[in-house]
Amino acid sequence: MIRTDPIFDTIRMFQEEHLDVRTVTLGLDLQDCSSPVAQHLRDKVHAKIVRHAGGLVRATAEIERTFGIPVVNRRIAVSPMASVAAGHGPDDLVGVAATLDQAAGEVGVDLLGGYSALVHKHSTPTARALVDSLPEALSSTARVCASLNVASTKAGINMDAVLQVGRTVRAIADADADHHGFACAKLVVFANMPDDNPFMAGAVHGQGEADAVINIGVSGPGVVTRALQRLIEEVGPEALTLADVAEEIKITAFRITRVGELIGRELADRLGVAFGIVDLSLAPTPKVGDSIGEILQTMGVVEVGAPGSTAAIALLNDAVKKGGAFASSSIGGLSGAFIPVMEDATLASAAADGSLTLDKLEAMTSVCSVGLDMVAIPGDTPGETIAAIIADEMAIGVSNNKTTATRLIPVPGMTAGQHVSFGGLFGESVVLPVRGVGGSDQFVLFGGRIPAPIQSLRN
Amino acid sequence: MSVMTTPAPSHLLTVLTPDQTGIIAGITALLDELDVRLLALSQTVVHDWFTVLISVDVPGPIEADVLRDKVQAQIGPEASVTIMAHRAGAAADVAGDRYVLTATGGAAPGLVHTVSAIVAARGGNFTDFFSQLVDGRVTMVAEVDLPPDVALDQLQIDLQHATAHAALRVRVQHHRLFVATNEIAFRRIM
Repeated sequence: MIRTDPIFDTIRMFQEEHLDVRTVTLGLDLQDCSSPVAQHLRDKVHAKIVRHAGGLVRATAEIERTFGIPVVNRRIAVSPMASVAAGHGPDDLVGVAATLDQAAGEVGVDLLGGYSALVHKHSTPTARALVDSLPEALSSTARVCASLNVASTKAGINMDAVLQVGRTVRAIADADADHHGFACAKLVVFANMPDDNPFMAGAVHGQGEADAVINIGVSGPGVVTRALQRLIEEVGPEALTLADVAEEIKITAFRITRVGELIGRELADRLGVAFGIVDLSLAPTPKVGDSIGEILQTMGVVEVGAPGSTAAIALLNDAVKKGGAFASSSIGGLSGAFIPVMEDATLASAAADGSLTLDKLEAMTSVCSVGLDMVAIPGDTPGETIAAIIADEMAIGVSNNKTTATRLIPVPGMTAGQHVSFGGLFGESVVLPVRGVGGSDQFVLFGGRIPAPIQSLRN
Repeated sequence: MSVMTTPAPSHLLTVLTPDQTGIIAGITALLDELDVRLLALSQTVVHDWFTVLISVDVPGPIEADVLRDKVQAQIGPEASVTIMAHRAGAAADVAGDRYVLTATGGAAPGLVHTVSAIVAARGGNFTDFFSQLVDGRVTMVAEVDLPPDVALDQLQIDLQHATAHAALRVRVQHHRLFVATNEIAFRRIM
């Protein structure tokens, strides 16, 4: 017998509360494409992507129609290119990036991740070459995204890599000055990089994964906000505790996750590939009503960035994970709450009025998914200072055995307080001030490796 | 070990009467007294009126008309009681998937007919249908089996177009979506 209320609850999530399947990401292992001959490598990479991903867009459209669920993005994640293209230099790697870009365009996806290197302990020559190639690779391609794992709880922090990356981020921005350094938005620097993250720009197809797999990213900050607003309206804030708030978020996360798993399994079946994971990450967009900042405000942190913001995001992140874990045994990726400043209108507004600072963001990253994400900083920030910011974020991840990351955008020609806009889903914000520029140059210039923390000795 | 089988119903009993407590209890007590076996029951209340459909296995000695009269007498003169012989194979067999049709919007005469006719023209069969008009707004929720070759997006376009005068928002979505989001046990293999 039909129960109308649950049916309309589900429909409301899509129609009014901006629930969507943010991405279906096809993970592809390209290790079998390796070749010492650059052209052979490129040909094999191109052929495998087109062969496996050729049906992705059509199959996704069919599922959208069947279930009436919008799927925002179709993407591809490949094996880290530094491994696939081992032995090749920067020029060859740029050529591979062009091939990845071309193949992605042919199959109709908007982004492809995996122009990546795992350098958490040491860097191979190819990994160093890949990092050196990033300014040209990212500014000359439209769809290619890059990521670097420079730290892990097991290995510590590769400070040589961190310094190289810090300087490279600055170089990438300068190479893309015509677009306000936007190419930096296509590079994520990780500690404890997940193997199955479907969200860009940090998606990569890790070791131990299937040859081809579907991973799903679902999001729905607006659904959570509305659920909390209804709860507060119906019951009254004086009758609620934070445990009740957490419970409501958990229940909502359960339902959002189920949507993702349903879509992921159906799509994997149709494509004849393995189903991987659902990543339930509350990833905001600049649209009104689709904001993590609004969730925090609904929870009572009216001034985002004020004391209490870290505790609030910790509650949110944990409740999301619990709801997701109960909904599905295939939760993976990042799964939690993102705080990408430029992509969240409320966070951007808080940054603009000075209540949300870089220091507070860093504190909040210790208890939520990802890290310093889509943060615009002054265009003249030295590479060494960028490296130091990265090192701080990596230390949070390494010490707490969690994934952290940076996606920093030095905006050429802009200083703190000026406004930058990338448009669309990438949003806009002010350029955030960076304190203590140059104050830790000697620290990062020591290089080497920050050893793994004692808690890594678990054997 | 003997295998239990469910007998086919011999008759279908329907009752329509103003709602009050004890109607089901009264009918089923009468059925038990007469050794009439209750095989399935579906009941609802619409605008304060009670309605029930019961499939029964009536033992040989009892006439169906006699059963009807006894039920009528038990419930009261205001009730409408019917009984008819069950005919096997009457069910519409749509070898496809189950969908949930929802429609919300302004009211206008004939909306339920419009929606149901379009679905029927596509070979769809409603297995459960709820419709309500409250404060000038109509709400429809229905489970419908659709043939495997149905063009789902065209069906939605046609439904939307045909009900545009009432600003109805019509959606047809696979039922697994609602199972997934509302039921704790959502197993991979259903």
